[in-house]
Amino acid sequence: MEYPVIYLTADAMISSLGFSTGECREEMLRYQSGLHPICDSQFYSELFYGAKIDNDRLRLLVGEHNLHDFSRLEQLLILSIRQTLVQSGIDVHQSDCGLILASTKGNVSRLSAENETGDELFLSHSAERVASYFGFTTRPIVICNACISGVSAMIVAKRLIENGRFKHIVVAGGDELSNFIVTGFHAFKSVSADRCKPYDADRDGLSLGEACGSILLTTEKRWVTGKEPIVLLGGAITNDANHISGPSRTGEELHLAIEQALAQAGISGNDGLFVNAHGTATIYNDEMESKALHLSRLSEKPVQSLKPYFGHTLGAAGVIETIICKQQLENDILFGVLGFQTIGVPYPLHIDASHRPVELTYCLKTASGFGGCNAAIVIGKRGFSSRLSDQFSPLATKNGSLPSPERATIVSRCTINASGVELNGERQLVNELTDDFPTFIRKAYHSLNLNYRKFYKMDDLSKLGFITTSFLTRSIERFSELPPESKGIVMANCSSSLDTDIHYRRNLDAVGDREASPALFVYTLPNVMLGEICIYWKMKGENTFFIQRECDKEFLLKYAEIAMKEQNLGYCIVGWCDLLGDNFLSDFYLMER
Amino acid sequence: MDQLKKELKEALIQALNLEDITAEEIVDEDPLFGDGLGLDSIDALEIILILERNYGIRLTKPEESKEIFYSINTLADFIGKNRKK
Repeated sequence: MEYPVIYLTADAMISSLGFSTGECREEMLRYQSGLHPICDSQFYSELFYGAKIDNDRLRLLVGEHNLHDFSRLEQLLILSIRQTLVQSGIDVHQSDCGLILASTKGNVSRLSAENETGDELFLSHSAERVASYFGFTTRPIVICNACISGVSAMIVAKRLIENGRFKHIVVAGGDELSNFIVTGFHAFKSVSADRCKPYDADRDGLSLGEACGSILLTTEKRWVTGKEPIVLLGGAITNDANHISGPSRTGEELHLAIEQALAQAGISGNDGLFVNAHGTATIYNDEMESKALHLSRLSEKPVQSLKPYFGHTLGAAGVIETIICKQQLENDILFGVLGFQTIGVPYPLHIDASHRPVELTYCLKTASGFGGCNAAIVIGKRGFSSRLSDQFSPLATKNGSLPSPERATIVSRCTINASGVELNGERQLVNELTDDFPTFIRKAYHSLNLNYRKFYKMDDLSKLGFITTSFLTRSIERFSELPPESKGIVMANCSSSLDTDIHYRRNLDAVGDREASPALFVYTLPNVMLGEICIYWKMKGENTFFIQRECDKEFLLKYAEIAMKEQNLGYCIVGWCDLLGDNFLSDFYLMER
Repeated sequence: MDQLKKELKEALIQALNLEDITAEEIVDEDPLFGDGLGLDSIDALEIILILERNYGIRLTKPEESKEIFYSINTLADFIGKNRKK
């Protein structure tokens, strides 16, 4: 099977440093940071360092384009995508043109005691509004995968293009600074007292930011805008299977994602490569990354984090950072890590505070996030890759390493809803009409004779996913003992983590923002449920969480099959897991190949 | 002191969702983290909140808490010496 070349073409980002990619790049060249002290009770009761988008300028643009009916995040997305489309000139009405949106929290700033159920609280709603504004005729795809969302979206786009679903995809990522997010990261005591200092001995945490970015991926060279075509060469996702918020102690899982992405790209660490890592500047994230890069033998390569410029922009991070990587490749310049002084990670990394001109060919971009997920992609200069086609052609290597395209089969199916638990068409447990969800799910837990104290700490969505997986995997002897990297998970729902978001919001309103609960906040991401499943059943392969208005089973099964082939998985759990208030539904399939 | 320990255990069970255990089952000298009660870094952050809310003690650095949070005994001892309410 021949894979098409995927070009990264037009792009646009809006951040604390400006309203276009060019503006942001120029500010970076002048060593400007978008991070400043913020003293605004709208976000937090105490001063913190954050990166905000200029609201006055935003207001002007909203007026100019008549976007008053959209939420602020939707406005930002539209303004960014608009630039990308104008730059490229592509027609999005075609049936082979798609939109992928990556966001961790969408319009969560609109969540309040008075508004717990509004349409705008659902990510699909925002995505559909943005898509219909531009006239996309295909349904937008939404990724909600914690801090790897942006990189995840690039990988989803790559796979869908390679497998013939689309020829062109606009990948957009966006997240706002909000009281919800700012209090949550403070509850985790992971916010730096000053501007964040990735990999530095003095680092003491992350700085939050907001941004929006979009980039057009296409198989057609005519949409290439830059002088040097940049292509997407590889990508992979793994899970630590260790802890829902703390990074891996060994870095082995990020290392695995890096290895897979590099192998797909058909390059080794010896080629002209630089690394754009996640680099949040928390003690443990940066430690873990240094271990992973050491394992991947990339310690000698230039490594950078862009967080000191933009802050951690969550779902947008993977997209805007990829855009800046593309800029660096196109211009043969390597941006310094602003403010870096002394290396402070267990394995030394090659980090520079200053920008410098370097001939660049490839970039490895990584991200890691809550739920234990890791993602890595490789982008590079098309010209350079084709010159190497005899030995290093990405396509040749890719074809060589791909397993035979045999189809995966469904070995079991488990459904849990208001009537109870059903496994492969047989009723396992009947739900008493008088039982509420917490009572019912505990009965299900006891019926399985499990002894796992962490079950009680999970939020309701995770409990539902956990119990469904327990039933689903019963037929596979010692499922948890099978090789961790051979097991993956692809999941979707409609409400994301809204049920827990509401609990967290209520808690925040009741106790004040200095006493926000970290144990609640950690579950305000739907993919943390995947993390819980991966920890218990020791699964380290593919991890992707989609948000869909209704369950698109056909898409999910197909996507899981693609992921299984690409990451050489033996098993993949795929399905739907949604819970909001009294309504819940899970429908899981176990696929085998 | 015994009253404080009992109060602490109940607060932990409630705040950390330790549904399958009673206050009587938590042994004063046993480790709370790792092998003992199996608490983790998120639980440690919740315990910091309990200290602030119930006893007026503000711990800013989670890493300082390792020895203090070792067991119910060490925790009660620390609270006894530092409580402001």
